[in-house]
Amino acid sequence: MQESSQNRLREEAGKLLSAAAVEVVVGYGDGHGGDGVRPLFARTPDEAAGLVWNDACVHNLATYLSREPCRQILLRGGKVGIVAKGCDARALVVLLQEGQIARESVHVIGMVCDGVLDPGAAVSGGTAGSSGAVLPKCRQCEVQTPPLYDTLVGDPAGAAAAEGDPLEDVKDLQSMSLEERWSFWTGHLARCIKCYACRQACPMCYCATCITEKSEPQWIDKPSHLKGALAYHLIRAMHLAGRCVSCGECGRACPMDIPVDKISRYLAGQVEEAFDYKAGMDPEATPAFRTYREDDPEDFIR
Amino acid sequence: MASFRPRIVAFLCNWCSYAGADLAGTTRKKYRADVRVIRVPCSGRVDPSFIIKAFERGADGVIVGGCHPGDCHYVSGNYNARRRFYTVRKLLDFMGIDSERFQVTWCSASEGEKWAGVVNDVTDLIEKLGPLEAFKEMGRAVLSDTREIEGVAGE
Repeated sequence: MQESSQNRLREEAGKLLSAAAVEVVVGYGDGHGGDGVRPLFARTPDEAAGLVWNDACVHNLATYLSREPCRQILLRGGKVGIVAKGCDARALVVLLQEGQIARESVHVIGMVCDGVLDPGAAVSGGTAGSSGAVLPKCRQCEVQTPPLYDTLVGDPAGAAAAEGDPLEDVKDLQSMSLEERWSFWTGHLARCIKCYACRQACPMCYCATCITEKSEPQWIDKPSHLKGALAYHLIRAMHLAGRCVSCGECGRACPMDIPVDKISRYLAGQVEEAFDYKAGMDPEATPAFRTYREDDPEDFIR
Repeated sequence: MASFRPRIVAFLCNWCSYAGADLAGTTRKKYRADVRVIRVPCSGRVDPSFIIKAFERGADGVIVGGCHPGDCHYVSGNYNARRRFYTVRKLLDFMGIDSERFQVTWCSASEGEKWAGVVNDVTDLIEKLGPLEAFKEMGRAVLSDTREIEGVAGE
Protein backbone atom coordinates (compact mmCIF):
# COMPACT_ATOMS: atom_id res chain seq x y z
CA MET A 1 0.00 0.00 0.00
CA GLN A 2 2.93 2.30 0.72
CA GLU A 3 4.25 1.72 -2.77
CA SER A 4 0.98 2.64 -4.44
CA SER A 5 0.76 5.72 -2.18
CA GLN A 6 4.29 6.66 -3.19
CA ASN A 7 3.43 6.41 -6.87
CA ARG A 8 0.26 8.41 -6.36
CA LEU A 9 2.25 11.04 -4.40
CA ARG A 10 4.83 11.41 -7.19
CA GLU A 11 2.06 11.66 -9.75
CA GLU A 12 0.13 14.34 -7.81
CA ALA A 13 3.26 16.37 -7.02
CA GLY A 14 4.37 16.10 -10.66
CA LYS A 15 0.99 17.34 -11.84
CA LEU A 16 1.07 20.33 -9.47
CA LEU A 17 4.56 21.30 -10.57
CA SER A 18 4.02 20.85 -14.32
CA ALA A 19 0.82 22.89 -14.12
CA ALA A 20 2.82 25.50 -12.16
CA ALA A 21 0.10 25.38 -9.49
CA VAL A 22 2.87 25.46 -6.87
CA GLU A 23 6.49 26.59 -7.03
CA VAL A 24 7.84 23.85 -4.84
CA VAL A 25 6.59 20.67 -3.25
CA VAL A 26 8.08 19.99 0.17
CA GLY A 27 8.20 16.25 0.71
CA TYR A 28 10.48 13.39 1.62
CA GLY A 29 13.37 12.10 -0.49
CA ASP A 30 15.93 9.35 -0.13
CA GLY A 31 18.33 9.91 2.73
CA HIS A 32 22.09 9.53 2.71
CA GLY A 33 23.20 6.03 1.92
CA GLY A 34 19.73 4.69 1.21
CA ASP A 35 18.58 4.35 4.81
CA GLY A 36 15.83 6.58 6.02
CA VAL A 37 14.60 9.75 4.38
CA ARG A 38 15.32 13.44 4.46
CA PRO A 39 13.27 16.45 3.41
CA LEU A 40 13.17 17.07 -0.34
CA PHE A 41 12.23 20.33 -2.02
CA ALA A 42 10.96 19.38 -5.48
CA ARG A 43 10.80 22.29 -7.94
CA THR A 44 10.37 20.39 -11.21
CA PRO A 45 8.25 17.38 -12.21
CA ASP A 46 11.51 15.42 -12.59
CA GLU A 47 12.47 16.16 -9.02
CA ALA A 48 8.99 15.15 -7.91
CA ALA A 49 9.78 11.64 -9.17
CA GLY A 50 12.33 11.47 -6.34
CA LEU A 51 9.69 11.85 -3.63
CA VAL A 52 9.37 8.88 -1.33
CA TRP A 53 6.72 7.72 1.09
CA ASN A 54 7.42 5.06 3.68
CA ASP A 55 7.36 4.56 7.43
CA ALA A 56 10.65 6.42 7.89
CA CYS A 57 8.94 9.71 6.99
CA VAL A 58 9.02 11.08 10.52
CA HIS A 59 9.82 14.76 9.86
CA ASN A 60 7.10 17.32 10.38
CA LEU A 61 7.56 19.32 7.20
CA ALA A 62 5.15 22.06 8.31
CA THR A 63 8.20 23.67 9.94
CA TYR A 64 9.58 24.57 6.52
CA LEU A 65 6.66 26.85 5.66
CA SER A 66 7.99 29.54 7.96
CA ARG A 67 11.58 29.03 6.83
CA GLU A 68 13.42 29.60 3.58
CA PRO A 69 12.73 29.12 0.72
CA CYS A 70 9.01 28.66 1.44
CA ARG A 71 8.77 31.83 3.53
CA GLN A 72 9.92 34.02 0.64
CA ILE A 73 7.65 32.22 -1.82
CA LEU A 74 4.63 32.71 0.44
CA LEU A 75 5.56 36.34 1.17
CA ARG A 76 5.54 37.24 -2.50
CA GLY A 77 2.21 35.51 -3.02
CA GLY A 78 3.47 32.25 -4.50
CA LYS A 79 2.07 28.83 -3.72
CA VAL A 80 3.74 25.96 -1.94
CA GLY A 81 2.84 22.28 -2.01
CA ILE A 82 3.48 20.25 1.11
CA VAL A 83 3.32 16.58 1.94
CA ALA A 84 1.64 16.11 5.29
CA LYS A 85 0.81 13.19 7.52
CA GLY A 86 -2.15 13.69 9.83
CA CYS A 87 0.03 14.96 12.67
CA ASP A 88 1.82 17.37 10.33
CA ALA A 89 -1.52 18.60 9.02
CA ARG A 90 -2.45 19.41 12.64
CA ALA A 91 0.52 21.77 12.66
CA LEU A 92 -0.74 23.31 9.42
CA VAL A 93 -4.12 23.87 11.07
CA VAL A 94 -2.46 25.78 13.92
CA LEU A 95 -0.45 27.87 11.44
CA LEU A 96 -3.72 28.69 9.66
CA GLN A 97 -5.49 29.60 12.90
CA GLU A 98 -2.61 31.88 13.83
CA GLY A 99 -2.60 33.62 10.46
CA GLN A 100 0.86 32.37 9.51
CA ILE A 101 -0.27 30.86 6.23
CA ALA A 102 -3.18 31.62 3.91
CA ARG A 103 -5.27 28.61 3.06
CA GLU A 104 -5.18 29.28 -0.69
CA SER A 105 -1.40 29.63 -0.87
CA VAL A 106 -0.69 26.14 0.41
CA HIS A 107 -1.58 22.93 -1.41
CA VAL A 108 -1.64 20.12 1.12
CA ILE A 109 -1.01 16.61 -0.14
CA GLY A 110 -2.44 14.66 2.79
CA MET A 111 -1.06 11.18 3.36
CA VAL A 112 -3.11 8.50 5.02
CA CYS A 113 -0.62 7.13 7.52
CA ASP A 114 -0.63 4.12 9.76
CA GLY A 115 2.33 5.16 11.81
CA VAL A 116 5.98 6.00 11.29
CA LEU A 117 8.90 4.22 12.86
CA ASP A 118 10.87 5.47 15.80
CA PRO A 119 14.20 6.39 14.11
CA GLY A 120 16.06 5.33 17.24
CA ALA A 121 14.52 1.89 17.00
CA ALA A 122 14.70 1.57 13.22
CA VAL A 123 18.38 2.26 12.59
CA SER A 124 19.68 -1.25 13.26
CA GLY A 125 17.05 -2.94 11.13
CA GLY A 126 18.44 -2.01 7.72
CA THR A 127 15.73 -0.62 5.50
CA ALA A 128 13.07 1.34 7.28
CA GLY A 129 9.99 -0.73 7.76
CA SER A 130 11.73 -4.03 8.27
CA SER A 131 11.95 -3.65 12.04
CA GLY A 132 11.43 -1.26 14.90
CA ALA A 133 8.44 0.15 16.67
CA VAL A 134 6.24 3.09 15.75
CA LEU A 135 6.76 6.43 17.46
CA PRO A 136 4.78 6.88 20.67
CA LYS A 137 2.74 9.63 18.99
CA CYS A 138 1.39 7.08 16.49
CA ARG A 139 -0.26 5.04 19.23
CA GLN A 140 -4.03 5.55 19.21
CA CYS A 141 -3.54 8.08 16.41
CA GLU A 142 -6.75 10.00 15.69
CA VAL A 143 -5.51 11.68 12.53
CA GLN A 144 -4.53 8.85 10.23
CA THR A 145 -6.56 10.79 7.71
CA PRO A 146 -5.26 14.38 7.94
CA PRO A 147 -7.71 16.97 9.32
CA LEU A 148 -6.75 19.25 6.43
CA TYR A 149 -5.81 18.42 2.81
CA ASP A 150 -6.37 19.35 -0.80
CA THR A 151 -5.34 16.02 -2.26
CA LEU A 152 -5.63 12.83 -0.25
CA VAL A 153 -3.27 9.96 -0.97
CA GLY A 154 -4.11 6.54 0.43
CA ASP A 155 -7.23 4.77 1.58
CA PRO A 156 -8.69 6.11 4.85
CA ALA A 157 -10.59 2.87 5.37
CA GLY A 158 -7.42 0.79 5.30
CA ALA A 159 -5.58 2.55 8.14
CA ALA A 160 -5.35 1.09 11.63
CA ALA A 161 -3.80 2.92 14.58
CA ALA A 162 -1.14 1.23 16.68
CA GLU A 163 -2.17 0.26 20.18
CA GLY A 164 -0.74 1.59 23.41
CA ASP A 165 -0.70 4.88 25.28
CA PRO A 166 0.92 7.81 23.45
CA LEU A 167 1.66 9.49 26.79
CA GLU A 168 3.08 6.41 28.50
CA ASP A 169 6.55 7.96 28.98
CA VAL A 170 5.02 11.17 30.32
CA LYS A 171 2.87 9.25 32.81
CA ASP A 172 5.94 7.37 34.02
CA LEU A 173 7.44 10.73 34.94
CA GLN A 174 4.22 11.92 36.55
CA SER A 175 4.19 8.91 38.83
CA MET A 176 7.60 9.90 40.25
CA SER A 177 7.98 12.08 43.32
CA LEU A 178 8.59 15.81 43.00
CA GLU A 179 12.26 15.39 43.95
CA GLU A 180 12.75 12.60 41.44
CA ARG A 181 11.27 14.71 38.70
CA TRP A 182 13.49 17.63 39.65
CA SER A 183 16.61 15.49 39.46
CA PHE A 184 15.40 13.92 36.22
CA TRP A 185 15.04 17.31 34.57
CA THR A 186 18.09 19.01 36.05
CA GLY A 187 20.13 15.96 35.03
CA HIS A 188 18.92 16.28 31.48
CA LEU A 189 18.86 20.07 31.18
CA ALA A 190 22.36 20.44 32.60
CA ARG A 191 23.49 18.90 29.32
CA CYS A 192 21.55 21.38 27.17
CA ILE A 193 23.99 23.21 24.90
CA LYS A 194 21.38 25.81 23.84
CA CYS A 195 21.75 24.98 20.18
CA TYR A 196 18.01 25.68 19.81
CA ALA A 197 17.55 22.69 17.49
CA CYS A 198 14.27 22.01 19.33
CA ARG A 199 13.07 25.47 18.42
CA GLN A 200 14.20 25.18 14.80
CA ALA A 201 12.49 21.82 14.36
CA CYS A 202 9.24 23.09 15.85
CA PRO A 203 6.56 24.16 13.36
CA MET A 204 5.03 26.41 16.03
CA CYS A 205 8.29 28.31 16.70
CA TYR A 206 8.05 30.76 13.83
CA CYS A 207 8.71 34.10 15.58
CA ALA A 208 11.15 36.22 13.55
CA THR A 209 12.73 37.33 16.81
CA CYS A 210 12.55 34.65 19.47
CA ILE A 211 12.47 35.58 23.15
CA THR A 212 15.83 33.84 23.49
CA GLU A 213 17.35 36.53 21.27
CA LYS A 214 15.93 39.43 23.22
CA SER A 215 18.28 41.14 25.61
CA GLU A 216 16.25 44.10 26.92
CA PRO A 217 15.15 42.61 29.24
CA GLN A 218 17.03 39.36 29.05
CA TRP A 219 14.46 36.71 29.86
CA ILE A 220 16.74 33.80 29.21
CA ASP A 221 20.41 33.68 30.22
CA LYS A 222 22.53 33.17 27.12
CA PRO A 223 25.16 30.71 28.38
CA SER A 224 24.30 27.04 28.38
CA HIS A 225 24.28 26.62 32.14
CA LEU A 226 21.42 24.96 33.96
CA LYS A 227 19.85 28.23 35.08
CA GLY A 228 19.44 29.51 31.53
CA ALA A 229 18.50 26.11 30.15
CA LEU A 230 15.71 25.69 32.71
CA ALA A 231 14.30 29.16 32.02
CA TYR A 232 14.47 28.48 28.29
CA HIS A 233 12.64 25.18 28.47
CA LEU A 234 10.02 26.46 30.92
CA ILE A 235 9.28 29.52 28.82
CA ARG A 236 9.26 27.49 25.62
CA ALA A 237 6.81 25.05 27.18
CA MET A 238 4.47 27.90 28.10
CA HIS A 239 4.73 29.37 24.59
CA LEU A 240 3.68 26.01 23.19
CA ALA A 241 0.90 25.29 25.65
CA GLY A 242 -2.38 24.89 23.79
CA ARG A 243 -0.52 25.06 20.47
CA CYS A 244 1.72 21.99 20.55
CA VAL A 245 0.45 19.24 18.27
CA SER A 246 2.67 16.64 19.98
CA CYS A 247 4.67 15.83 16.85
CA GLY A 248 7.72 15.17 19.01
CA GLU A 249 10.14 16.81 16.58
CA CYS A 250 11.84 18.85 19.33
CA GLY A 251 12.90 15.72 21.16
CA ARG A 252 13.99 14.03 17.94
CA ALA A 253 16.07 17.05 16.92
CA CYS A 254 17.95 17.28 20.23
CA PRO A 255 21.63 16.38 19.72
CA MET A 256 22.02 15.82 23.48
CA ASP A 257 19.11 13.37 23.65
CA ILE A 258 17.15 15.50 26.08
CA PRO A 259 13.51 14.38 25.91
CA VAL A 260 12.20 17.95 25.59
CA ASP A 261 9.13 16.71 23.75
CA LYS A 262 7.92 15.18 27.02
CA ILE A 263 7.36 18.67 28.44
CA SER A 264 5.18 19.99 25.64
CA ARG A 265 3.39 16.69 25.13
CA TYR A 266 2.59 16.66 28.84
CA LEU A 267 1.21 20.20 28.71
CA ALA A 268 -0.81 19.38 25.57
CA GLY A 269 -2.40 16.56 27.56
CA GLN A 270 -3.09 18.85 30.52
CA VAL A 271 -4.69 21.48 28.28
CA GLU A 272 -6.88 18.86 26.66
CA GLU A 273 -7.94 17.54 30.04
CA ALA A 274 -8.72 20.91 31.62
CA PHE A 275 -9.96 22.95 28.69
CA ASP A 276 -11.21 20.24 26.36
CA TYR A 277 -9.06 21.51 23.53
CA LYS A 278 -6.73 19.57 21.28
CA ALA A 279 -4.59 21.78 19.06
CA GLY A 280 -4.77 21.45 15.30
CA MET A 281 -7.86 19.32 14.97
CA ASP A 282 -10.26 21.92 13.63
CA PRO A 283 -9.34 25.15 11.80
CA GLU A 284 -12.58 26.75 12.99
CA ALA A 285 -12.02 26.05 16.70
CA THR A 286 -10.86 28.84 19.01
CA PRO A 287 -7.43 28.04 20.51
CA ALA A 288 -7.42 27.25 24.22
CA PHE A 289 -5.54 30.36 25.30
CA ARG A 290 -7.50 32.74 23.14
CA THR A 291 -10.70 32.09 25.03
CA TYR A 292 -11.98 31.05 28.46
CA ARG A 293 -14.98 29.53 30.13
CA GLU A 294 -16.52 30.93 33.27
CA ASP A 295 -16.34 27.50 34.84
CA ASP A 296 -12.65 26.90 34.12
CA PRO A 297 -10.87 25.12 36.98
CA GLU A 298 -9.97 27.50 39.80
CA ASP A 299 -9.65 25.28 42.83
CA PHE A 300 -6.03 26.50 43.10
CA ILE A 301 -7.06 30.11 43.60
CA ARG A 302 -7.28 31.60 47.06
CA MET B 1 18.45 28.24 58.80
CA ALA B 2 17.04 29.34 62.15
CA SER B 3 15.71 32.60 60.84
CA PHE B 4 14.59 31.90 57.31
CA ARG B 5 12.59 34.80 56.00
CA PRO B 6 10.99 33.91 52.71
CA ARG B 7 11.17 36.24 49.76
CA ILE B 8 7.78 36.51 48.15
CA VAL B 9 7.04 38.47 45.01
CA ALA B 10 3.46 39.61 44.49
CA PHE B 11 2.13 40.82 41.15
CA LEU B 12 -0.98 42.80 41.94
CA CYS B 13 -3.65 44.07 39.60
CA ASN B 14 -3.84 47.86 39.64
CA TRP B 15 -7.64 47.92 39.93
CA CYS B 16 -8.35 45.39 42.64
CA SER B 17 -5.62 43.65 44.54
CA TYR B 18 -3.19 46.56 44.59
CA ALA B 19 -5.94 48.80 45.96
CA GLY B 20 -6.83 45.99 48.37
CA ALA B 21 -3.24 45.86 49.61
CA ASP B 22 -3.30 49.63 49.89
CA LEU B 23 -6.48 49.41 51.97
CA ALA B 24 -4.80 46.89 54.25
CA GLY B 25 -2.13 49.52 54.81
CA THR B 26 -4.39 52.53 55.31
CA THR B 27 -6.58 50.60 57.75
CA ARG B 28 -3.39 49.60 59.62
CA LYS B 29 -3.81 45.87 59.22
CA LYS B 30 -0.75 44.09 60.48
CA TYR B 31 0.62 41.39 58.23
CA ARG B 32 3.89 39.63 57.43
CA ALA B 33 6.37 41.90 55.71
CA ASP B 34 8.09 39.33 53.52
CA VAL B 35 6.20 40.25 50.41
CA ARG B 36 7.46 42.56 47.64
CA VAL B 37 4.63 44.04 45.64
CA ILE B 38 4.87 44.79 41.92
CA ARG B 39 1.92 46.63 40.43
CA VAL B 40 0.66 45.40 37.07
CA PRO B 41 -2.26 46.75 35.01
CA CYS B 42 -4.15 43.45 35.19
CA SER B 43 -3.54 39.88 36.30
CA GLY B 44 -3.72 39.15 32.58
CA ARG B 45 -0.51 41.15 32.20
CA VAL B 46 1.41 38.58 34.19
CA ASP B 47 3.34 36.63 31.59
CA PRO B 48 4.44 33.18 32.83
CA SER B 49 7.98 34.42 32.16
CA PHE B 50 7.56 36.87 35.08
CA ILE B 51 6.90 34.01 37.43
CA ILE B 52 9.79 31.92 36.15
CA LYS B 53 12.12 34.92 36.31
CA ALA B 54 11.05 35.72 39.85
CA PHE B 55 11.96 32.20 40.98
CA GLU B 56 15.20 32.34 39.02
CA ARG B 57 16.17 35.63 40.70
CA GLY B 58 15.68 34.29 44.19
CA ALA B 59 11.98 34.37 45.07
CA ASP B 60 10.82 31.54 47.29
CA GLY B 61 7.22 32.16 46.41
CA VAL B 62 5.12 34.16 43.96
CA ILE B 63 1.60 35.49 44.46
CA VAL B 64 -0.55 36.91 41.69
CA GLY B 65 -3.54 38.98 42.78
CA GLY B 66 -6.37 39.75 40.40
CA CYS B 67 -9.98 40.84 40.38
CA HIS B 68 -12.74 38.39 41.18
CA PRO B 69 -14.18 36.65 38.13
CA GLY B 70 -16.58 39.06 36.44
CA ASP B 71 -14.97 42.14 37.98
CA CYS B 72 -12.03 42.58 35.61
CA HIS B 73 -11.49 46.21 34.58
CA TYR B 74 -10.68 44.88 31.11
CA VAL B 75 -13.65 42.48 31.16
CA SER B 76 -11.81 39.18 30.72
CA GLY B 77 -8.14 39.64 31.67
CA ASN B 78 -8.45 37.55 34.80
CA TYR B 79 -10.37 34.78 33.02
CA ASN B 80 -7.64 34.50 30.40
CA ALA B 81 -4.97 34.65 33.09
CA ARG B 82 -6.69 31.89 35.07
CA ARG B 83 -6.11 29.40 32.24
CA ARG B 84 -2.47 30.36 32.00
CA PHE B 85 -1.88 30.16 35.75
CA TYR B 86 -3.53 26.75 35.88
CA THR B 87 -1.09 25.61 33.19
CA VAL B 88 1.94 27.22 34.86
CA ARG B 89 1.17 25.33 38.05
CA LYS B 90 0.91 22.06 36.14
CA LEU B 91 4.20 22.79 34.40
CA LEU B 92 6.06 23.65 37.61
CA ASP B 93 4.83 20.42 39.14
CA PHE B 94 5.94 18.37 36.13
CA MET B 95 9.42 19.89 36.25
CA GLY B 96 9.76 19.02 39.94
CA ILE B 97 9.10 22.44 41.48
CA ASP B 98 6.43 22.55 44.17
CA SER B 99 3.50 24.35 42.50
CA GLU B 100 2.35 25.58 45.93
CA ARG B 101 5.11 28.15 45.64
CA PHE B 102 3.01 29.87 43.02
CA GLN B 103 -0.23 31.19 44.47
CA VAL B 104 -3.10 33.07 42.89
CA THR B 105 -5.70 35.07 44.75
CA TRP B 106 -8.79 36.97 43.72
CA CYS B 107 -8.79 40.00 45.99
CA SER B 108 -10.93 43.10 45.45
CA ALA B 109 -10.17 46.71 46.39
CA SER B 110 -12.36 46.39 49.46
CA GLU B 111 -10.71 43.21 50.72
CA GLY B 112 -7.77 44.62 52.66
CA GLU B 113 -8.39 42.07 55.34
CA LYS B 114 -8.41 39.20 52.84
CA TRP B 115 -5.09 40.41 51.39
CA ALA B 116 -3.49 40.50 54.82
CA GLY B 117 -4.75 36.98 55.45
CA VAL B 118 -3.47 35.68 52.12
CA VAL B 119 -0.02 37.12 52.74
CA ASN B 120 0.11 35.59 56.21
CA ASP B 121 -1.05 32.21 54.94
CA VAL B 122 1.31 32.16 51.99
CA THR B 123 4.24 33.31 54.09
CA ASP B 124 3.55 30.49 56.56
CA LEU B 125 3.30 28.05 53.69
CA ILE B 126 6.57 29.13 52.09
CA GLU B 127 8.27 29.09 55.48
CA LYS B 128 7.18 25.50 55.83
CA LEU B 129 8.44 24.64 52.33
CA GLY B 130 11.74 26.38 53.05
CA PRO B 131 13.91 28.32 50.65
CA LEU B 132 13.75 27.37 46.98
CA GLU B 133 17.27 25.96 47.21
CA ALA B 134 17.13 24.33 43.81
CA PHE B 135 17.13 27.64 41.98
CA LYS B 136 19.55 29.32 44.38
CA GLU B 137 22.09 26.55 43.84
CA MET B 138 21.83 27.07 40.12
CA GLY B 139 22.52 30.77 40.56
CA ARG B 140 25.52 30.06 42.79
CA ALA B 141 26.89 27.56 40.29
CA VAL B 142 26.69 30.17 37.55
CA LEU B 143 28.39 32.72 39.76
CA SER B 144 31.29 30.40 40.58
CA ASP B 145 31.59 29.48 36.88
CA THR B 146 31.83 33.13 35.99
CA ARG B 147 34.48 33.74 38.64
CA GLU B 148 36.50 30.80 37.37
CA ILE B 149 36.41 32.13 33.86
CA GLU B 150 37.29 35.63 35.03
CA GLY B 151 40.11 34.19 37.15
CA VAL B 152 41.59 32.50 34.10
CA ALA B 153 41.26 35.67 32.08
CA GLY B 154 42.94 37.70 34.81
CA GLU B 155 46.07 35.57 34.98
